[in-house]
Amino acid sequence: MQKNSRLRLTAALLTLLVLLFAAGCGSNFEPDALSYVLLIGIDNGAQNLLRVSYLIAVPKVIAGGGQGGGGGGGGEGQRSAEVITVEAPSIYASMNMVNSFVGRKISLMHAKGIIFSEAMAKDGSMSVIVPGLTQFRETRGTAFIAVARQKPEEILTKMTPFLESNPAKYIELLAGNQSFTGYIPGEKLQDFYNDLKIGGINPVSLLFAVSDENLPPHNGQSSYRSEGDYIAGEMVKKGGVFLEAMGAAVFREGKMVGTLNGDETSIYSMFRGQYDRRIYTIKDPLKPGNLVIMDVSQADKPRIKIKLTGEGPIIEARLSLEGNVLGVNSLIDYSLPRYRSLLEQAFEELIEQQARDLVEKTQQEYRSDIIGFGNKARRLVLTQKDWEQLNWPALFEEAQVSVDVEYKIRRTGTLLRLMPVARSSD
Amino acid sequence: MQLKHWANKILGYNGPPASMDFELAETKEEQQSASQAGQEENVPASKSRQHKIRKPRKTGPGGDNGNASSTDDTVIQPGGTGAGDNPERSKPGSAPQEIQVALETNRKIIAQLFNLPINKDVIVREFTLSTEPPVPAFLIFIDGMADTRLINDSILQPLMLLTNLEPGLGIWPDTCTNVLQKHLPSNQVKKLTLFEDVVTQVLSGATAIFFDDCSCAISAETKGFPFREVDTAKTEQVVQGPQEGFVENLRSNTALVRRIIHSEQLITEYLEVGMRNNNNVAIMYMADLTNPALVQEVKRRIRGIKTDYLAESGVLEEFIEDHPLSLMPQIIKTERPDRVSSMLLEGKVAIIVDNTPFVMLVPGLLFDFLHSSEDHYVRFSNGIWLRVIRLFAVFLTILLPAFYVAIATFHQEMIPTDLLLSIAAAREMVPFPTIVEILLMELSFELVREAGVRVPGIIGPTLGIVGTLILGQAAVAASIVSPILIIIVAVTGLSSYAIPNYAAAFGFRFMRFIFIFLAAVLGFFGISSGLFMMLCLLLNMKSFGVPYLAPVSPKTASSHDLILRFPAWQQENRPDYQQTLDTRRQPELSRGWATRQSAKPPGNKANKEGD
Amino acid sequence: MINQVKIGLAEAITLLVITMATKLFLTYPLIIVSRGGSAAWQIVIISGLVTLVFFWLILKYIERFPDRSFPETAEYISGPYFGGLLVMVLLLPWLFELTMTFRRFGEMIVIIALPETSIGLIMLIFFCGAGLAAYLGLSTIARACHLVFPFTLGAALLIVAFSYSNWDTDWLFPIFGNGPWITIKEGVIQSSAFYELSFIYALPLVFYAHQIKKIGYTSIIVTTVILTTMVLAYLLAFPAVVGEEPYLPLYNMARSVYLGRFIQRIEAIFLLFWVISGYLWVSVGVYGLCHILKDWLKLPDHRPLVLPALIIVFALAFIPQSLPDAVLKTGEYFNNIAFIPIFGLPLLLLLLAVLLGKGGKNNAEK
Repeated sequence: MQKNSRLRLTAALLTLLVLLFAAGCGSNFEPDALSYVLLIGIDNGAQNLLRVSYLIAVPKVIAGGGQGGGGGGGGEGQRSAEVITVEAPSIYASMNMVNSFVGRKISLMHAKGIIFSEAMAKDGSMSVIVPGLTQFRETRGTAFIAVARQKPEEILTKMTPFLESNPAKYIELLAGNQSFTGYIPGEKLQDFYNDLKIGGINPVSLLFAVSDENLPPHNGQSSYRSEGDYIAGEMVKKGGVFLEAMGAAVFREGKMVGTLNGDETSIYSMFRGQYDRRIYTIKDPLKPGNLVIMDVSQADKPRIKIKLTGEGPIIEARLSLEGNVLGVNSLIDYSLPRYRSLLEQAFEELIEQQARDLVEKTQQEYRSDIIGFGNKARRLVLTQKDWEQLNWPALFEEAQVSVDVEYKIRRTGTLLRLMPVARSSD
Repeated sequence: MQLKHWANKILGYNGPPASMDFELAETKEEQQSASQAGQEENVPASKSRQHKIRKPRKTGPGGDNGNASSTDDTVIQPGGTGAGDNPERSKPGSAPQEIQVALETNRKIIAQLFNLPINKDVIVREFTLSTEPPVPAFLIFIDGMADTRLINDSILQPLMLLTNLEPGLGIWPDTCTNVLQKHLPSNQVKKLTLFEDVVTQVLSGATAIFFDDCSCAISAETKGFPFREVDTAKTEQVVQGPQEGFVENLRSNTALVRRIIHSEQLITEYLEVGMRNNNNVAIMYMADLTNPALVQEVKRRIRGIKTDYLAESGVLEEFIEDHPLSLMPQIIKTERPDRVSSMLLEGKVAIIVDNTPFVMLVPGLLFDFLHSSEDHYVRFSNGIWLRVIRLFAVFLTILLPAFYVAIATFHQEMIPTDLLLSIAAAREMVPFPTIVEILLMELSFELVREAGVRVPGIIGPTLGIVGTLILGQAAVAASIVSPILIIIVAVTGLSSYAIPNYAAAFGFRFMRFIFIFLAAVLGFFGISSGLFMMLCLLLNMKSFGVPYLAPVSPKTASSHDLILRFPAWQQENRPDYQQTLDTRRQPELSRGWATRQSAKPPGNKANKEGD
Repeated sequence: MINQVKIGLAEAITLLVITMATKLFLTYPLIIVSRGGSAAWQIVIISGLVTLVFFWLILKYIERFPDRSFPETAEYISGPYFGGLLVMVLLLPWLFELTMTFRRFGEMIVIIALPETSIGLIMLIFFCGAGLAAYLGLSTIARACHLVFPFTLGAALLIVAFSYSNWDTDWLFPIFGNGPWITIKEGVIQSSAFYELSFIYALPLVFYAHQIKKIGYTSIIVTTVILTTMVLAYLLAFPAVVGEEPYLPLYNMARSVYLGRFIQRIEAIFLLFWVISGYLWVSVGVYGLCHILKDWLKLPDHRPLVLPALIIVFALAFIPQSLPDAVLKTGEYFNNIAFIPIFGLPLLLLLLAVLLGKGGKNNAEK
């Protein structure tokens, strides 16, 4: 009797469960019932508020990459990712709108980056949209955030890697190249959002542009120009992917106020401790007509000290770098101590100059503390109230910044000594 | 009490199950010292256990067993005289208990007991002892069970021919004793007074001899039935280590164990189970090691069984295990004598059922099922590696397909984009949802496995390989399943075979389906819910009074032989949870030669052994 | 009468630590950061110290009545009616917190794993799992805690380790956050977070009497260390202003892990451990509730009470109409005052006992 009632109870519970399961637990989607967005492009709309573009992966082309060859080659075969653009009042609405002509449900789970148009960045609507993106479950804080100098949909259309069959891999690798080029900031969506929210720092973002794929004719007047002295879209290049990612966009109070070129971005990264390594080509300090090429990496985290005085804050920044000499055109043997210290000194001065220029630019031109001196200044106050009373943005503009760079050459490539070339005329 | 009554009514609540009553507890002093030392244990306070509200539930058998069985007996046996006192030994066919004086009466009773004219297996041979005066006698044995040559040479010959050498008045009055002492050159003889014993003896291959004018009989050991020779172990193979396995014959099996453990403390006890058949069940244990409470409990459970007959040790297992409804086995079944002996020396009890080559060991705990005797035979680093692989295999077996289902259908954000896109691409032409796909493949894998076992002889393994490969290849080619899934199923299948115990592997394989279902319905939440419930149920289980996850939870003193197997010379303690009488395997300094002192011979050494 | 189940030292400590620290996976870091800003980690330490003091007093109470259950003591000291009232004072916040946490776990799963599943179904599954564990009894739950604890702790520490690349010590400044006085005041108030410590005096008989002292102190200290570590790591990874925002701070922390193209997107793995510790929390709560009721009503066994108790909890859990209600509003009520009944109750009883001269050595005849 009692055994029966236990059995009955179990049976009733099981039936209930089965019914509930049947009634719906609709969170599951077959992997081939979703369409995976790899990149989102957001622009002002012509008729509606936003014009949203999606770069959607085409799995069958990507997985069949072996026989399909370069899916993105352009002419033959299907592209490995398709660009879809709709106009909508909001991003999430645009997802549903896309699904009125795309069968598979749009999913932002694997979105690797978000690209805004320069116009949106400049009128501040980008900073309005970003918090909404961090609130959404599918987008991740680890996606990169970029400003496009052209239309975002154009950037997405050009996103046809020739090496990778999978554009996602291309995008992720491209954004990760920051660690050895230093031309772009390592800012992710979450960092952008954090910087936007707190008072001591202003955000930056990546800068994307379509390259014009035009090699100018030779006129015999080429001259030295630092490799970082470019902003996306200005580089002279041809082939590969018709895109450039170089430099950074600077924001103040949520609005884009200017750009940094590759060199400035490297210095910015050095200040923020995000710099890893890059190659510098500098003029030879002893023979100015020649060049020295070095692989420069960060030796130590930057140390930034701030003092508050009557005339405003005094900031002392100390960057320590170390390097590896890769090539010396002048054939001066920089492995000898007397030459080496000269080279080190020259490079220190160069970086110090660039750093001072960058700080000045942010203070006077952009009036935006992207370097985050404000964050360091938080150490000077005891409570949140004091910090708010400090009014850092105003203080920042009158801060006296001194930069001290310490550079040490650790090794000289594969060669220990550099012997002069025998020349008959000398 | 009213509330309890209603609760019972509504919830069918009957209190904790009976099996939870027995607990292989530590002694009082041990408890005290352990709790002081910070060891956790789960021993209830000393008060007597009163919670026996189950009693009224058992309306059928239970409290009034004696009556029930004795009425049964009387129905079958008109002449039965209260066999109910001793139910497990009562069986049909024990007409008058005592052996009568008159030979003719005895013959009739025997004929009745063995259904004589009909039963052609039972041979009765009448003869006369050649004494003065001659004594009529008969012997009875079962053809095929007894060695006829032995009967001719060492029973009939001496009794019929050589008894005339008896001087004086002849063999009378104490025929039995005289024959026993002077005339029967058989090495194992017994004097019997009860017919019940006669039947048992004869059925097990002995020859019983009755004499005229004598109220007892003699049984002489003449077993001579055919049985399989000791062969290599079929189901538990090792690369290094002894290869022999048990056989169907009970005596050979006990001998195989005894051949390994040369100790007078190794005890073999015999019990009989089965009302119609009388299966012999042997219990082996180390008298100076095994906790007596454990032996007592094993005997209590086996004696408490009322059934027709036991076909195999698996049947007995179902009768005596604590949680018959659980997916996990709680009794170790092995066919390796070396495994049995090492377990006996850990303080376990072996139960050997006649006619089966599988010996049971209790208590069987989860980690015992993941150990193989080979772990100890290879070098210890390799032994650790084997165990780690096996543990890994367990998790793969249970969770891999479920993980795949959960990731592919719920948590696509978890996998690297490349992999996700290739999964999506592979599923492009597949018409089924992932869950159907995986069930299809898992079921066909089970089919291949089952067919491989049933298929006769050497085709088996071939069938397995061909079946899996061709089926998988064809299924992929026909776009019925995606290729990634084949990998998942194949790896799962391999892992399930890496689990050394057959029953445990079965349990894990079955669990896999539960987890697949949970994952298909609720994703990772389903899997973790399932894991939690599985964990709770496992933690709640006991095998013969020992918590099922014993060395891990509740944590007991380490015997250095769990997941990591320490070198043999570091395994100083026996498993604590066995509550053995002697807790140490070897002294702290087990490698006498490794110390400097031992270089100097006798004095020190003697001291050490004295410890 | 079933024998009183006793749990050992390590099991008891892990049980208390798991129940007290599980709120980390829910909103605890969020609440603390919203109260303390960049000084939130100091609040945790202060609340731990305050709890240690409270526990010292609770210990006095437990030592005075070594072998009585809580309802017995309450009725013994203050008579059956007032004593009953005191038991209610213990039970009601318990039930309240149990209900709300039950709901919060349901919401957690909706957010993390199953965004489109009905919360009813999720909580029904939770109901079954926690009910099973509570039905099987305290020894099973305690062993499960003991077994799961290292893995859960490992998972939490793994998040900390993985988030290292996002750390920025600047977020810890200004050092005193919203001001030292606010920090201290909140530190006292937030000792409500050690609410589950009431398990010790509400069910004193499940512990070995001579171990209670060690159990209490160790579990408080371990919990404080764990909570401080996690809150500190959270503050290092997210600035205080941003850190106040997410419902599941640790989930956000796990999501922000990006260590190359392979080690990312790992948050779903942690879900396993979070769900299991959620189960443990709820089953400990339900078991405790049933156990106190059992002692109060003088029943022989807690098991018949499990299903009714769970049904009540299940029903009450649906009262808040939205997630912010279940977190913010109730959190406001509960977190601000909970420490008064939790720690006040044994102190009140102790005071009464001293005044009336009951218990302790005067109680020799008992």
